[in-house]
Amino acid sequence: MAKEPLIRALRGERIKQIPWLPHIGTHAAQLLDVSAERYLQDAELLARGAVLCSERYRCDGIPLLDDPQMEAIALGCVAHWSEQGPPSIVSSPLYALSPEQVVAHLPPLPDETTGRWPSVIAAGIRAKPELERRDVALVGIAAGPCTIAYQLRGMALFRDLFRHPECATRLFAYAGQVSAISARIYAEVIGCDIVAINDTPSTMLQPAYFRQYVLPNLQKAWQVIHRAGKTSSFWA
Amino acid sequence: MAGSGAHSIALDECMALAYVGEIAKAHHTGFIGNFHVTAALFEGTEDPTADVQRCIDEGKRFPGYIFGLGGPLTRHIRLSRLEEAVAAYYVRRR
Repeated sequence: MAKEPLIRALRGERIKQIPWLPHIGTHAAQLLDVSAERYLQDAELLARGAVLCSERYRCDGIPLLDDPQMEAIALGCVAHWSEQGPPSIVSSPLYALSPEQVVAHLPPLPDETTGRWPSVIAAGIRAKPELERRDVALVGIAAGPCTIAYQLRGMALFRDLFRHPECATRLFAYAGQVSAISARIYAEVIGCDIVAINDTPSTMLQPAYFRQYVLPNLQKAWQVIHRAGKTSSFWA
Repeated sequence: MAGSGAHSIALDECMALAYVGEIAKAHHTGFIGNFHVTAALFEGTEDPTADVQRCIDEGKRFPGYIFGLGGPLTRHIRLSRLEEAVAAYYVRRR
C-alpha cells in the first residue's frame, strides 16, 4: 500500500510497481454482511468498509462512497433502494415538466448539510486517519454533470439536447455547479487525496454534445480540486 | 475525456486499454483500468488471472498506468475470484 506512487501515476508518471485503485462499489457491504441500502447510509459502516477493503485487497487508494445517485437524492429525486447495489432513481421533480419550466424548478444548490452529506463527511473524518496510518489514499467520487442532469430530467434530457438546447445548457450548467460543490466537500471538508468525477452517462453523448454540454461544466470541479492541492480523475 | 483537464481518466472494460494508454500518454495524464468485473468475478468460466495479465501487459507499456476495475463491484461477487485476481496483480505488477 503506497499513496504517493499512486498519486504520481495518476499525474501521468511511470511508476516501477504499478499501483492499484479499485472501483469498490457496494462490495464492502458484502464483507460487512449488511445490505447495500444500510451500508450506503451509515457513516460508521462506510468508514469501516473503506478500511476493511483497503486491508483485504492491499490497494493504494480506496473510495469512501461509490454511489452515483447520492447527489440526485440530495436534490429531491426519489430512490428505490437495493440489497445488492446502489439505489436507482425512480422519479425526479423535473421529470414531468415541459422544457420551458425546467430552469424555474431547479432545486436549491446543496451544501454539506444536505441529504446524506453529513453521514459521508462523518465517514470520511473517521476513515481518513485510519487510511493514512496504512498509507492508503482516500478517494472521493462525485457525480458528474451528465449523471446529475440525466437523473434530474430522465430520458427527456436526450430530447432536450437537440430540441431545447437552451434548457439543456442551463440544466448542465446547474449540474456542473452541483458536481463542483461535491468536489469541494470531498477535497476541502473531508480532505480526500484524490477526487474523481464519475460521469458514465456522458459516454452516451456524441463527441459534439460532450464538448458542448459536459466539458465546460467539468472545469469548475477541476479548479476546486486542483486549488485544494488534490489529484483529479475522470471516470466513465 | 483525457483533455478535459483532469489529472487522470478511468474507462470501462469496453475500451481497449492500450488505446486508452496511447491517448493518456499524448495528454500526459494517468489512466486506470480496466479489469473485466462482470466476466471474471461472477460465476463465469473466464480465468480472472488471464484478465489481470491482459491489463498489466497493455497498461504497463505507457506511463501513468494504474491497475483498476472496469466497473464498480456489487455486493455479491465470488470473493475467491477477486482474491485470485488481486494475488495475480501482486505477482505481475513489477
